[in-house]
Amino acid sequence: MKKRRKKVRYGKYGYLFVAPFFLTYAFFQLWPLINTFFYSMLNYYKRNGREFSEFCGLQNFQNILGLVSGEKAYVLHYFKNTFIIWGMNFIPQILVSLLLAAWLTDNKVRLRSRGAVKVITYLPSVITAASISVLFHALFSQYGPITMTLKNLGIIGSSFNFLESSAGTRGLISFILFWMWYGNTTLLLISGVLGISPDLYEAADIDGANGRAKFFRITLPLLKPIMLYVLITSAIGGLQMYDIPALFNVSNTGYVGFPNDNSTTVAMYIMRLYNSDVGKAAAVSVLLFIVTLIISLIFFKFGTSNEEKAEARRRKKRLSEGGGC
Amino acid sequence: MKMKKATALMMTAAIGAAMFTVPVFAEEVETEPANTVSGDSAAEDAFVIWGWNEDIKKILDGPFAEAYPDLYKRIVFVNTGGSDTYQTKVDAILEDPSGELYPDLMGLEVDYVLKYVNGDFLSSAGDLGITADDYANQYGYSLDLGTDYDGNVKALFWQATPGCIQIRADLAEKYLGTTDQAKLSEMFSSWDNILDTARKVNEASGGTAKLFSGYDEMFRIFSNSRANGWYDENDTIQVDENMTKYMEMAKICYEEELTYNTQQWKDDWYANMAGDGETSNAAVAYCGCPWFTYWCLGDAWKANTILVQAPEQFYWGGTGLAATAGCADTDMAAAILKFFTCETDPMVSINALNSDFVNNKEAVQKIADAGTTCEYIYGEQDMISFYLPMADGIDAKNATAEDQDINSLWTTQVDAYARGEKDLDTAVADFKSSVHDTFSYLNVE
Repeated sequence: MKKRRKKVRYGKYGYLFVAPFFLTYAFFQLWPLINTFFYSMLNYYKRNGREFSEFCGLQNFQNILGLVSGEKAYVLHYFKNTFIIWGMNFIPQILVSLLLAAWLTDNKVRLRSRGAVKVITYLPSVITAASISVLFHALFSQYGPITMTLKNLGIIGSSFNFLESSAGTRGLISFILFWMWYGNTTLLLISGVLGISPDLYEAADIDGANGRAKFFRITLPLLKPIMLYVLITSAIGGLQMYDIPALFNVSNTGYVGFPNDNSTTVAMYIMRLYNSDVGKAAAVSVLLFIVTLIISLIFFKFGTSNEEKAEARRRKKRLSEGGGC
Repeated sequence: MKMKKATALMMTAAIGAAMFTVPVFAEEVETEPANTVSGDSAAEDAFVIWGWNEDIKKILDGPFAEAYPDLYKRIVFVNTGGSDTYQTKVDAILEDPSGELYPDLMGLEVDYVLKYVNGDFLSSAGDLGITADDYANQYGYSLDLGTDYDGNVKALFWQATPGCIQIRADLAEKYLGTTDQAKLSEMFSSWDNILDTARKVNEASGGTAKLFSGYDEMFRIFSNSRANGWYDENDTIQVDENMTKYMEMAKICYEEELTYNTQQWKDDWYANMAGDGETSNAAVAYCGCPWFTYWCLGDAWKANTILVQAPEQFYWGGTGLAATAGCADTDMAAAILKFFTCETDPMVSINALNSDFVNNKEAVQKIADAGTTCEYIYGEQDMISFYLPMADGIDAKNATAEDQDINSLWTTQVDAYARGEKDLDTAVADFKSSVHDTFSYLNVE
């Protein structure tokens, strides 16, 4: 005999509680997002404060990619700048953060006042990007204290000027980003390392594994999910990089990165276009979105291990056999 | 069950997508200085005026408050804290005339005044009851800058800005052997003479002092005296002969190390203004104009500045005032505009306040006749009398609405050419295509 029990459904209250977020999200994020896609297909420009717009299909994309005669693919140059600056910041950042995370969690490394070290590594990201840009510009300008010191020590030539050299400017922007964000990455990685079961390390110790073996055989493989998260968020943030390069070594309008347009990032380009040509700006935004998506998916593909994939397949199979929950 | 899963999946996907794209436009805010608002903007009869520094406010607080105490009480002044981000801020606020801080009157700089003049944002002076007789004393070039395609005068300027070259007397004595204005004028009378003078400074100082801080010191002299603007009446981008001449000058200066290659308004540029030429690098001369002389020179230039004419007659900068299309009180706007830009006695009082070269021929003549003092001037030279003949015959027909942005694209190419990274034709072609890239309605021929 079947007994029918009356179930109380609390589910609907849950929806009520999450509703405010989804409503704000829909108005302030989803709608503009859809709009951006729409604008990218408009010939929508401003002249003397008057706006003109008409539908033009994929014309904007053909223009920004230089597929039409008379148009040049400036966006590729800005993507190149962005990738160089991002790469020079991210690779050292992940290496230093990994090292710091390993040291700060390993009891054998008897680091004194660990708390203080963590706070200090995190501090730079508390300062506003604007102040840091201005500060570094002053430090590394032609007569800036650091430039002068390096010249006196003979490390750089007497006529070298960081702000006149593409490598110098890009390198400094990368360094600022590295210095600002490595503390944040370190904290994320530390939390990842602390999530690894201590039993594993204990077992390894008993087996006589040294620090290096433990790092490469235990820490690194088990950090993969966190690493994936760090990689993807950094790629998203890095490709949209705007504030530091837009304030560091630029024309007075802030949209042309000196020298020779070599420190202009994609986001700066979008801002430059936004004031004159909204349709084109939207097209560049969409392109940036697609590139970011592809890069994230690549990371995701390589970041998920084979075992995890196998596990996911098994689970799926079980589910389909069991007929769902 | 399936439905729920699908919903959950869609929501997650949507949030994910938002993480990827949204912040692109949202981050702009952080890089701009904050607005400073003075006065009670909530008052019913508030009269809002926008500017990017305290220049306008000082005149309002001083002579204007004295002449019109009742009107002065109603004024709300918004200072955006910088000219470079002014357009972005003002454009957003102009879209909504019902907004509390919608300007009734706004300041406009030469580099972008035409954008507003040719747009739908401003009332014409005629609509406010200001007639051609009222501004008969203004310099013609400033009226050109404030007039739209159809001939309506919309923005009126309170300052005229004839350009010159400013020389630091102590360094001139040391490296050029004279502080005599006539002899120095000769040294700056042509571009060839300027190059010779620059070489002379290099030689005499051994490189611790140079004639100019950067070659861009010459940019305004070339650009604001050229015959043709950045594009013609068919919207075809053009590069005037003056501008290619400027590129050649830049290249010579770079190759012969005649300047320190600084950029105007940056730290190093200021450092060269304050340097002494021995323990620190120094620049002997700066491009100048009235507002520069009384407002931008450093302490080292006090009682130490000699003004000479540049090889070409040019103007540099200038601020216009205009009433907006949605101006709430046109009588008050007219009163302020007349006070700032038309009436002789108030404009003399503006000069008394800030030493500016006011945009009123009768007023400046009066000021010159009475004789002026400026704390920066060396010896006997009279600043206003010096500028007086140079203000006639300035031509501003070369200005375009997009000058500010186009100029920064231009700078990029000049630098590349000067450093030998490109030849002249490539640099000019790259410039044109980059302008077309930013302003798609401007065409490369």
